[in-house]
Amino acid sequence: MKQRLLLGLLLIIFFTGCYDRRELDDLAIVVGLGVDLADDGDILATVEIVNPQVLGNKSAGGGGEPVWVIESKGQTLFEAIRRMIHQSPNKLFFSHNQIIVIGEELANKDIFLVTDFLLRVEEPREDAYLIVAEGKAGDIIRAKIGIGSVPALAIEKMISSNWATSQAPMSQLIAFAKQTVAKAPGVVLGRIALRSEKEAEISFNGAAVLKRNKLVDWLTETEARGYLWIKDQVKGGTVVVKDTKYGGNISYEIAREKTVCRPKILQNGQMSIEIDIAVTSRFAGLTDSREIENPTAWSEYVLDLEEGVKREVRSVIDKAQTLQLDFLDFGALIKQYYPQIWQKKESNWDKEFPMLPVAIKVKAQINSVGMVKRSR
Amino acid sequence: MWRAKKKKEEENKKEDSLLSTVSKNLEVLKEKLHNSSDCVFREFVIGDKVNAAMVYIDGLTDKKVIHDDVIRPLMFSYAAGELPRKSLLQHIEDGLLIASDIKEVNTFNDILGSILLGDAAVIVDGEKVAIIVSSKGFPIRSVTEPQTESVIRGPREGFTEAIRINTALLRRKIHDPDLVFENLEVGVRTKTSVVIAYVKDLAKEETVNEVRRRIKSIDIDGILDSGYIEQLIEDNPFSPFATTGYSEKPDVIAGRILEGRLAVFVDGSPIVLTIPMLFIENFQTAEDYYSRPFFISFVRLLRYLGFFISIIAPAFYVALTSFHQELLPTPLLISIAAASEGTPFPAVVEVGVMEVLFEILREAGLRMPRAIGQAVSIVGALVIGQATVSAGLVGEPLIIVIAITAITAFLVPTLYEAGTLLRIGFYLLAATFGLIGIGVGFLVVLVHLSSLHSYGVPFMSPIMPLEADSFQDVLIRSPLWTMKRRPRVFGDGIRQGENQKPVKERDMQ
Repeated sequence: MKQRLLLGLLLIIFFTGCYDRRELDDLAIVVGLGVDLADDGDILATVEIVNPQVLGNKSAGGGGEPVWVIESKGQTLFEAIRRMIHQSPNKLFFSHNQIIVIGEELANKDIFLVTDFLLRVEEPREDAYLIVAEGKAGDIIRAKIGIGSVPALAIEKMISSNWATSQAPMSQLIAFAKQTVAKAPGVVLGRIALRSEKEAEISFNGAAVLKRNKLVDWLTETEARGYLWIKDQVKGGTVVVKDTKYGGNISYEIAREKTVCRPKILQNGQMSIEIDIAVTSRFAGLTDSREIENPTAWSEYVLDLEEGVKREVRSVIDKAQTLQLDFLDFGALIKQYYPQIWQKKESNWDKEFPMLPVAIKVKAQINSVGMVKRSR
Repeated sequence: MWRAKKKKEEENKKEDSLLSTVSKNLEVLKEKLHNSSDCVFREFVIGDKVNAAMVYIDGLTDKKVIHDDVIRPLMFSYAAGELPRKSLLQHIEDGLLIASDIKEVNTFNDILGSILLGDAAVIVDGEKVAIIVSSKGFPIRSVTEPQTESVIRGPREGFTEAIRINTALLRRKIHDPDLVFENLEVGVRTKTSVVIAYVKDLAKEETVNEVRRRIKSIDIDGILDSGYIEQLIEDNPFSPFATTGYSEKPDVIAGRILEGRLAVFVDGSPIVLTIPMLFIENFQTAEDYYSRPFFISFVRLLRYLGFFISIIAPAFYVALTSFHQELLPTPLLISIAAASEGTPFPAVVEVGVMEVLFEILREAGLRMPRAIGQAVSIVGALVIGQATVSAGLVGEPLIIVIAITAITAFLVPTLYEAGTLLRIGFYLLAATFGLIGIGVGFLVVLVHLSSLHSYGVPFMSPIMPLEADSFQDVLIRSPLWTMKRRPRVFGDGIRQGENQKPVKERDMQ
């Protein structure tokens, strides 16, 4: 019996061995993927593959390009990617893909053509950033930004350090999938744009609003910030407020933020949404020579700051209500708190949403004037 | 062969008694010793009348004792004709031999047994009895610092090859009448003396009985080292993990005996066994208890980590680079890919070859004379470290992994053998199944470890079965004054008084 067991074990080890093994030097490591709609209606995929020999060999010094970009066409994304085998000596490896950029034209058509494949296949990672490009995605992938670095990794860094301004959603593939599965009426993805082709300048701010996987509109930086306030995702950034008393601008740095949204039934029986935002911030710049010392004097500034935040939030709500698209997902809130009422409202929500009253309450706090009392 | 010898011995027992004339006795002894060249048969006359002889083995005895304290008094104490004829033997024993330890024997076998241990036998005409005089004196290595367990703080003496000195070294640590040394003789030909040492009221009686029974049942021609005893009495002969502890340092043995274990000394071996053994003993060193607890606790955690790394690192490297590239951070993947670019073999082969190469180098350096050993290590460092990389045979990250493995493997020296076998096992599993193989292998090892027993004690205690109050000396070494109890598995017992935490008088600054 024991011998048979041993024999079995040996067989398992030596006859099943190395299934699914991939050697590192046989892999083409993909770090960025751009998907566009070709003129003939096919899918045009552009991938950015790193060249480890240039990147890893630090002593050799600038021999060759750090990345290699190839593109391929197909009726579906999968076909386009598989066809790249004709162009690449190594098998494309998508597990380190950091960004998925979707071209505007494709976004106008249906981004499901991209996301379904990426979610269904096991290789692409689900925490990759899913962003929409103004214009062609291929141009973004091709843009040589940064110095001697991998452009896709630079973009990834750009997105993940975006919290310092909080002006675009850091939308990941997995978050998109969750929203889609939860049947959110609208989805908000980060927006990327090529500012100047020659200088290879890229900007990541603002957002794209999608309705049933189709791009319907863009959000400006301010609207995107408003969206992030509502989603409790503001991690930092500046709020600039017009100084009512002395003229000029005061900028505040957001230190901490907490947002609670909940539905509330008004006295007349109407459903409404109440947004409570608590902000902690500090002075980050004044335009005149005032001396701000006494904390009790801060209260007037606090009111201004609260107004400033409110404006940002209001802007995105106005946008949503004009679009008649509940991409803020207030419907889900109502469903969560008042499931019975939601059942009645659900079918007619598209019509009701633009009229939904939204109360924004901001409680701001300023806790520091910074290192100087006065700088001139 | 040796079975035949055993049988013959039993037959001879009947006609074994001494004869009454010296010459005939000597004849028999010479025949039994086959006239071996190191045997000395010294015939002399007492008081000009009585023939006598002395038998000993040259080199095992202290010549000075034999000359001054045995032969001289026997030859010069009686003038001619003055012999107290009736009880000459008694008189020699009581008044002449200047030796503290003498005994009478009356068979050839007993004589042989004694002189082969280094005693001298005196035979007198007309007596069917021989007097054995203790005269052991052979060159022994002096007590030196042990090479395998060096310490920065703590006693530096180590055991030698002579069992008496070893037991004395232990006795010097524990001045307790309850410290018992039990003598056994093992080995049909070597007749090696084996001593079980324990403190009577600390060691569990059933453990002592069991160890004694197991040692007594050893039936082998020779015991050359305590390793023989270990392998012939251990609980789990097929496990890669040793379930018998050992040390070369008297203070370590004393510490373990005071926790309720027992020690087995074997003549001719400086390595003393301790029984039973726990897995966690591998991670404890003598110095842990001599230094203050904080840094040592950190070091002990390092040892656990080091052992884990040493068994898993190459396997992990293989699994990550050839199965689960998605688990590596992107920059790391890129640099590993850069290093392995252009290497001719898959990672699995590279790791296997380098691992084997390292073991070969280690073994070569170990057995070589020191001068050559150095050459081996230089060649090894150059070949492994540089040439393979610059020739593009393997990548640098792999060298780092192998180097880390090699260094961490020496963090826990007593687990080196088991660790190396496990490393190979994990490597094979990783090469075939990736991380899943490592995971399953790890479970199998855990189950195996939990199933082991060492002389009636669960090997993984106090981790499995869990004994929370014995945890003071497992992951960290808590302050001495918190270790009130002995480890539970060795029998309950308080080993210190209440409130041993140092207290400062109020007015002391």
